[in-house]
Amino acid sequence: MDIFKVPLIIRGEIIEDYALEFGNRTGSGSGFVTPDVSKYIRKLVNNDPASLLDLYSISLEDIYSYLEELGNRLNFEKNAGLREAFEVSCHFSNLSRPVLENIYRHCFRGFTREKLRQMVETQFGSKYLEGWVPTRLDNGSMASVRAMGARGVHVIAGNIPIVAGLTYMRSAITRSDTIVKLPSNDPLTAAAIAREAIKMAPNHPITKHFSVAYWKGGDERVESQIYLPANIEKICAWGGYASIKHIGKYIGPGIDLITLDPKSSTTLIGKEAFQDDETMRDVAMRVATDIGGWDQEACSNARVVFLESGTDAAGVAKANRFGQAVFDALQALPKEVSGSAVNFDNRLLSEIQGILPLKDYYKVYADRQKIGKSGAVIVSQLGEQVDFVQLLSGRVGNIVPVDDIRASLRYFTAATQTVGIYPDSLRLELRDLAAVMGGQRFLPVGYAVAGGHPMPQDGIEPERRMLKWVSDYHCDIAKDPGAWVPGKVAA
Amino acid sequence: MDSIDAAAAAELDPAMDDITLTVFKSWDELFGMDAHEVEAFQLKAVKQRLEKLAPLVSALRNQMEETGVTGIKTLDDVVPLVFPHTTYKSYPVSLIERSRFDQLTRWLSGVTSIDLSGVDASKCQGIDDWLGVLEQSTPLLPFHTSGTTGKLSFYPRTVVEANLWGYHFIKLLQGFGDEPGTKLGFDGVRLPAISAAPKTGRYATQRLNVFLAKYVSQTPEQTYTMSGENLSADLQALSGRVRMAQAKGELSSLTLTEGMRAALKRYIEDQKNGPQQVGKFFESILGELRGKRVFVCGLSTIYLEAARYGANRGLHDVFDSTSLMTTGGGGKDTGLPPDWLEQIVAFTGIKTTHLLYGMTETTGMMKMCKEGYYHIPPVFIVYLLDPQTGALLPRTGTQTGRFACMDLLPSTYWGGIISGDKVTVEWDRECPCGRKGAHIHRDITRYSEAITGDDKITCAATIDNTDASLQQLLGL
Repeated sequence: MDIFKVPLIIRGEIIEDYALEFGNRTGSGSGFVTPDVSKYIRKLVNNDPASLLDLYSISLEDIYSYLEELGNRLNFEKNAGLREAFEVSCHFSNLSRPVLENIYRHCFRGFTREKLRQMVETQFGSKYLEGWVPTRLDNGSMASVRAMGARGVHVIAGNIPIVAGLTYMRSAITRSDTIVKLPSNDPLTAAAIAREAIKMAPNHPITKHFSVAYWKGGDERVESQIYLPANIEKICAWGGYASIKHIGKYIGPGIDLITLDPKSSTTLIGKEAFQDDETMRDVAMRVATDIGGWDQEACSNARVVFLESGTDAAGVAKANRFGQAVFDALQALPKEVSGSAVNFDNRLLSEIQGILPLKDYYKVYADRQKIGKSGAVIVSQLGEQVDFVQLLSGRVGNIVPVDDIRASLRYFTAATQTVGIYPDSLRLELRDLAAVMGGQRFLPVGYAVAGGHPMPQDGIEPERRMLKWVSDYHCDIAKDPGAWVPGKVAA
Repeated sequence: MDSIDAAAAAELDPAMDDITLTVFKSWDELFGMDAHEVEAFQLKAVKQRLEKLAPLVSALRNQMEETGVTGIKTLDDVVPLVFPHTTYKSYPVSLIERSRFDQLTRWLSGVTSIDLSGVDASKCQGIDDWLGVLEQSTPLLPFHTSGTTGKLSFYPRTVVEANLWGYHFIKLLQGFGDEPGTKLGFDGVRLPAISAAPKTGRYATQRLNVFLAKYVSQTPEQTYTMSGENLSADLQALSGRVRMAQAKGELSSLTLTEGMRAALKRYIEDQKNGPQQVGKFFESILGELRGKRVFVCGLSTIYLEAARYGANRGLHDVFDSTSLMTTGGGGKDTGLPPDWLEQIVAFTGIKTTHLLYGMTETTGMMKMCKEGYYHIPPVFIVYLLDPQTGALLPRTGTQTGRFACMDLLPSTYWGGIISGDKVTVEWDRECPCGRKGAHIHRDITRYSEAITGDDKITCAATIDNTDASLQQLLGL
């Protein structure tokens, strides 16, 4: 087994006392050593809110400068440390190597002043970060609001390394003190960013308010000490049901939980896709991109595709042709865009093998001997989703022929996030209803993993949630007499 | 040395083929076969099964087409034809949701050589109903099982094959070499049988209860089971249906009949009262059976509950010490305390408790020898597969992998199946117990069903609060 080193980084200090070893659950044979967090708990937790004051000695523009410089330094070509982190990540990530490299090359490009400013101004606005924003109330008082940073733990997802960079950016902009709990499928990206920050500006407030640690999720020795209201105010958890449930036991007064849970996105294709062969192929290419991009490792990837082909024999035949076109397009995607998963889910493989004989129910387009490599497109002949939708991964999509695409909205669940819709006119027509039904992010088919947009995520504004919104009142006794003033009845 | 349990064979099916008749030979003969003898037998047998079943079982034919395997020259050639476990639950669950049992019958006909064309399932109201119709109108006695996802698998055993399951199970009580044993059942020793599980249903245990009542105990009344309530397949299927509906966004269209709702409420209540029921059950039978020689079989967890109940009441050595008992072998990850077997033996008083390994998918079970190994009978061709790639691991030395088996006993369905068990096999070791042939280490675990470890977060989106949804469906 290849063993790699994952440091513990606490607010600018790199700790390399590698005491514990953890194996790689995907069975690729690699593992990592990391310090025993329980031995450094006193250092890691921050029970002193006053420690965040140094973040207020810098302006938002200073923060943008810091991030921009950091982004420049995290340049794949120039930064050997980043390339090393990438090489090690190849042992833990389920992403194919060319796709992973492409992510590493591009994921810090969002650290530009312009992009950061856009993210801030289109959501909560910089003035709240920089000072008190006053509003004159109708009773003559002045209410001011300021957004303050908080101490938080981010239990981040490891499926796409972008998450680490995004978390760093959010933490810096909100002037938070952040502890990132590393996922075992991406133990290094966040550490690589923190290391570079320490090289760049070891004493900078942002560097001194970011920590990176690995402990086994559910380790009570560690978690019961970290997740205390005296030590943290926010938990941002990207985990699934099991993970949220066990974090849930630490939630109580004083701790705010922000969940960015796993999602299952969906795709709606209107009958316009069949107006001619060229359109059909174009749409198929887009759907293939949504299924195959990032190797289908992201929440936003397409999995179930509702297709308004009709469910009669002619309709299903159209759907089958579409399925074949999607599969062919999937094979043709550039390797930096899409590749086969490092580990294809065996349960999914068994399910697909199980339905291969059921030709009246499912047509499966795949390289039957190498489904893990080629992925698969399953066209449901009976117009119903496959029973194993929750397993769809490794570039496997399920095309479901329907008579009326609008009826497919009822299949949205609490997990529906991205909804790719074709054509644009259908998207505009449906978006109000789709939003009511639970969809969170609508876009044209083909853009599911375009990434990097400074917009709400999973129906919330995570930065807004990370902040504490504090109010201050200036009351004028002449206009707003208080209850103690004799003869005046308080309003 | 050679002896065939002819009486039992004749009683079960006078027209049994040679391969199946093997199971009636003595353990001395079967575990006395050299490796090349075993291989020769297995190769001949599997070719025979393939030749007969390929024209009649479309799922097998399909697998041959998919993999390009047209014939078998060596035992390794069988591996591409071994079915994934999903083969027996590949039906779209919507067939059940929409009560399309005629289509479910058509699906089942793909995995059996039995002609189901005459089955009229058009009026079936549920799965139990459907299984009943199959039993009435065909030679089938289907077994069902439910994996962790809750979706039911259906194994199309015939009456004969169901009885073979039972026979291959009780045969484990027979002796080998110097090890004494008992020829239990049929024209051998008949004993009261205790199966601490619900009486009726179509899981392997409930099928076994019927077998015990007919062939093991003196009279059917002397097979003691836990309750008269039927273990309904419809109830068992429900949690799986809820889970799948949740994932597909179809929960709002899931409907329950009033009858189902009531049955499920009762079932959930029963589950809550579980441990007490075990205790009450033993209380009720001890009146008649205390101190008697009996045959006890079932889950280790149940008997541990009984032992604890007994310990609280000062009950110990309740049965004659020459009684017979079989139970699951326990293993590293079963959650049983290290002294579970001692606790059970203290309660039952049964000196020799046989530990078994097996599954619904294969005919009968395997027994642990005094060295701690489960010995593989010649009728099971065992393959270990790489858990990630599915590649066949060498059949030499010590190997750990996913357990797959070509069960040679079934003659109406294809016995090749891949399991979810992680198993270590000794291919060349000579076991001091004297049994020849490959054998399995006692520690058996499941390959983790979860794709995500605690600390690996991916986008396998499971809003999986099935229990809560079930409660809501019931209006609890």
